[in-house]
Amino acid sequence: MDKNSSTYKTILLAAVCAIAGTCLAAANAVTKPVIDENAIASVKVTLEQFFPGAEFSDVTSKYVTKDYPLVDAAYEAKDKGYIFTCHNTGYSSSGFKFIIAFSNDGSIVGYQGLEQNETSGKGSLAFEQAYIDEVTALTSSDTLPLISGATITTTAVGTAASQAEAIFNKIEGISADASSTAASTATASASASTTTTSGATASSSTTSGASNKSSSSTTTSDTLGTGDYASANASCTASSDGVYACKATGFSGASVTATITVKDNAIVSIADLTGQDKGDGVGDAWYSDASAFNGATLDSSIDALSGATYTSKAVKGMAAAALKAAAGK
Amino acid sequence: MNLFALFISAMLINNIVLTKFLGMCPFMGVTTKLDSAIGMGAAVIFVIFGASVLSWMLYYWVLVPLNLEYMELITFILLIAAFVQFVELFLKKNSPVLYKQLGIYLPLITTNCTVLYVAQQNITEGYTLVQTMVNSVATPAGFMLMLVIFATIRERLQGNNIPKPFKGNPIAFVVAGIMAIAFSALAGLV
Amino acid sequence: MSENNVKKQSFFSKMISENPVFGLYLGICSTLAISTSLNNALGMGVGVIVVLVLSNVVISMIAKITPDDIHIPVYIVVIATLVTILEMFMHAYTPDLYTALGAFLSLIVVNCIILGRAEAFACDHNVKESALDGLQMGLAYTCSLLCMALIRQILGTGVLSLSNPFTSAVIFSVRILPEAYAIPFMTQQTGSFFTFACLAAAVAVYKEGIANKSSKKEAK
Repeated sequence: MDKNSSTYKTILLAAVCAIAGTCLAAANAVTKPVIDENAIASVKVTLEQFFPGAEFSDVTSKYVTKDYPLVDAAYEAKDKGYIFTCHNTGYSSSGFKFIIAFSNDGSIVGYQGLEQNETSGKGSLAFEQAYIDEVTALTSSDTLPLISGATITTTAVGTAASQAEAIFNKIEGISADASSTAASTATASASASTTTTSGATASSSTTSGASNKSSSSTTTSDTLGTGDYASANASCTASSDGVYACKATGFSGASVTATITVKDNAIVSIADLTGQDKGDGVGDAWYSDASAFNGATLDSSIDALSGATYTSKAVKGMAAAALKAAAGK
Repeated sequence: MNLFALFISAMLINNIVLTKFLGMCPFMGVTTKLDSAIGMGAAVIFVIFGASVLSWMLYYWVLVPLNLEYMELITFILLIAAFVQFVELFLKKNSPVLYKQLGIYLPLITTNCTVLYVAQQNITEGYTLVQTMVNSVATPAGFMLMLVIFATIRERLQGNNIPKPFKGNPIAFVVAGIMAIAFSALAGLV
Repeated sequence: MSENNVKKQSFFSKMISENPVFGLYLGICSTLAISTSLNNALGMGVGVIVVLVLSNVVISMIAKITPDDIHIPVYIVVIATLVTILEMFMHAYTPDLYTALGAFLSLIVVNCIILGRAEAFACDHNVKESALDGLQMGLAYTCSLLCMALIRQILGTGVLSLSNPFTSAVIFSVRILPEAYAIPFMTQQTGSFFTFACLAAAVAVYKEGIANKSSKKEAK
């Protein structure tokens, strides 16, 4: 074949690229597992401190998005908890790095400075045992306390930690839905109630009575009148006689809205039920079919849907609010 | 990230020539005359902008969905070479005047470290498309700024009494070192 | 320099006067950036030697069957593949070196030395000669890097240290200058430029010396 013909050139180029591609794919196959292992190995010692013997995996690309610039990496300790490495700049311009570990029940089980250059005796107190003890007594819904004389550093630590908390709560929010319905029969079981309380970031039900707490974590025993839906922040405004435009807060702060028609203190129907998180799969079951509420009164109890605890709460909250508003007239 | 801060930091604070040491070959070769410096700078801005945006798209719209991230280096460099060829042909046909002014520099730009570096930096820093565009204009703008400053200094240097060993390129590096000190003062700006 | 001078120089003399970095000003970018410590310099140097030798070998093999107008893209693909493979292996087995070299590992692709030797030498010579040439150029490059790194590390930090890139174990660490006498800016950009300028000037003096010596010889 003539060396200068176009076909020859195309074939040669294609052949070269194909060989190059194969070599690269082979090298990739060989080296990628080693690289992934190294990524964990370097922090494994630190991770083992918090969850000895657990199986770790690097889940940074899965959970740490650009919305959380202060969080560097996230690791999952299988069935035990999550660990985050964060950074921020305190008093010293070189900044600091720390690691914070949450166990699956929502409490902070570990906090440790990794690299810091803060003023000794002042900012460095944020990485010393006294403060570590304070932090490890908290849960993922708490803000870290400040140390007087080291306010700049501790505020910076707190800001970074709150981002880690936000990611953790978001993760647990997802798993909390699944585990709360699975544990629906174990009403008084400590693990069930603590999992839901850790998942409900803004939930004020930690302060409400024990019976309310366990009843809101189960799916069957609360009624619309007695259930605690304060965390859903439901509110309704009457748009015409018996028709209410309602809104509430569902999963991860998504706003949920509906038009609820009430007659004779019973819900006729819930129409136009939709939420900001529609399409995410979370509350979609409700958005497509809310007929379970047809005919409900304040004494009815409606099952929450598995995998959609927050949205169920939001819908029930709106239904309760609408019924109460109708009864209040 | 604030786009203005990104622009200033890419152009002045993390200047690609003085802090990252890239683009040194044209830096030494093209800065003997001010006109050639300006011409080269303009050509580089255009090439880097085009090539970087295209390679960003190639990476996120082709390589990532196909799980071929390790092909990044090869595909980028081929894309850059192809883009430069295309620009050269386009200029030759449509604007002979511009081709005469810029055309000689274009083949040099293909192997210029700056282009590949900016294209890769946009990926490793995880910039969005808009941030990529800002970075891809700011970085070569910084390069052009350096070229122009350097060319004016060198033109003046030619009349001076420089020790024989340092004549030519070595003194240019000393000047670059002093410029590096001057520009490091901008570090705290953003 | 006349032809005779070039032939009469010894191997070492050639390595100085035809040094790709200080004599021909090729591959400057990586020299300036990487020469902060002995470790980085050695790592980069070895990387370049490997890529240079392999690319010279491959290109000398395919040069005959490659038509002229597509030879640049073909060579670039070859070099880019080699660099990517090197990158992958470095990332897996020498992670510290990989992070230290950073973007400059990828930039070996556009290192003028590699493409330059491929075009100037490898495409016209056989495999053995090309490999040897690659080795020579790579060694010259590594030596230049090492010179700069030695100066910058000793003056900049006062400590001369080397560690095993595979295990991060320190091989030796010797303090040569007391800490108070170390000049920090030598490890930064400015120091890099100044050191390079001085070394380039020294090479220019050496080249001048050779030219003078041989012109004196010829005059006799």
